[in-house]
Amino acid sequence: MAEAEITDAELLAAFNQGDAKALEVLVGRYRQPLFSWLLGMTGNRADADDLFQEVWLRVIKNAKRFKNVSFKAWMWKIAKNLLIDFRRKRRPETSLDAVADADEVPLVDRLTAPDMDPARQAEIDDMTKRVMRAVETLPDMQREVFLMRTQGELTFSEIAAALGIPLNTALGRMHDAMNKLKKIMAEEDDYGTDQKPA
Amino acid sequence: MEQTKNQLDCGVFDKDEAELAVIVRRGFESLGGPSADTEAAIFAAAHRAAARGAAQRYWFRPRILAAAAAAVVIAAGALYLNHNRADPDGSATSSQETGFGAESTQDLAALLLDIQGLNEESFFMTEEAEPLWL
Repeated sequence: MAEAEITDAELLAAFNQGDAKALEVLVGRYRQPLFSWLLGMTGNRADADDLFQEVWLRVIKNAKRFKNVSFKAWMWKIAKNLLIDFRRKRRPETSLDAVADADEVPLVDRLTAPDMDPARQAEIDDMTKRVMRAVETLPDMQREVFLMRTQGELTFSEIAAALGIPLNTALGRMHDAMNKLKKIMAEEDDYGTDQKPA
Repeated sequence: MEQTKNQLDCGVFDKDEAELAVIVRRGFESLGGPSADTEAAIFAAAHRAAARGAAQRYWFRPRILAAAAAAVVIAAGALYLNHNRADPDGSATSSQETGFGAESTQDLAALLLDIQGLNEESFFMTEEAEPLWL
């Protein structure tokens, strides 16, 4: 059977039978989506790295407890719980809506950081920068749903299960996030047009 | 009319979402993934956990086999005893035929008593014992 045809649950079952390579495949499958989500939620690469490791260590530890539900929803639930714990420990005085500390570099600025690979930098167009900037301004609850949907490609049922919210709430948050992003980008367009010399 | 409008809204929503998703994915991919050290630590933990699981299974299997073997021995013993009680003639025949277990439980008990010099039956029955007794 091709690797892509094997389901997440089957890979986890194989890992439970002692096949460590199965977990490596699983990590590879969610490497970028999960890390991007954590990066989008913490706004800090080192924190995202730590949390990424912590999520997988929890998956390894609790693999035998996994019931036959959506692996994505289960894993993201672990990630969300760890994120809440992390924020409580790290910044107890800051609200959960805070994106990053003042001394932290916004994600969009990292896209053009001098230490970044020039080849990659060239790939990033203005549109990407604008969207990323807009995503960073989203409220926490909308951003987590938006990034789960766009990065992890979770269904709304999976998002609702991972966050422990009703399905309609998940749908509503995504809808609000989309409207807000469109509004921000439209405002930027107007601002850009106004700034252009006649 | 209302239903058509909703369908159109959903269509626009899906299209916008798909377009934005591509851009956001590209942006985050440009920011890179987890560090090599982090991934190495995860893989090492996975290998340790898998090895631990395998070791547990390795020890678990012989235990089951030993338990099963003990159960079989006990069951066989119980059957043998039951068979002896139900059909003593048959057992005697089989003992003679095989030569195994020729001594009955009673014989064995008598032998043990003999060894210890406590077999009163033989004490009274043998001729040599008679003068002593008198």
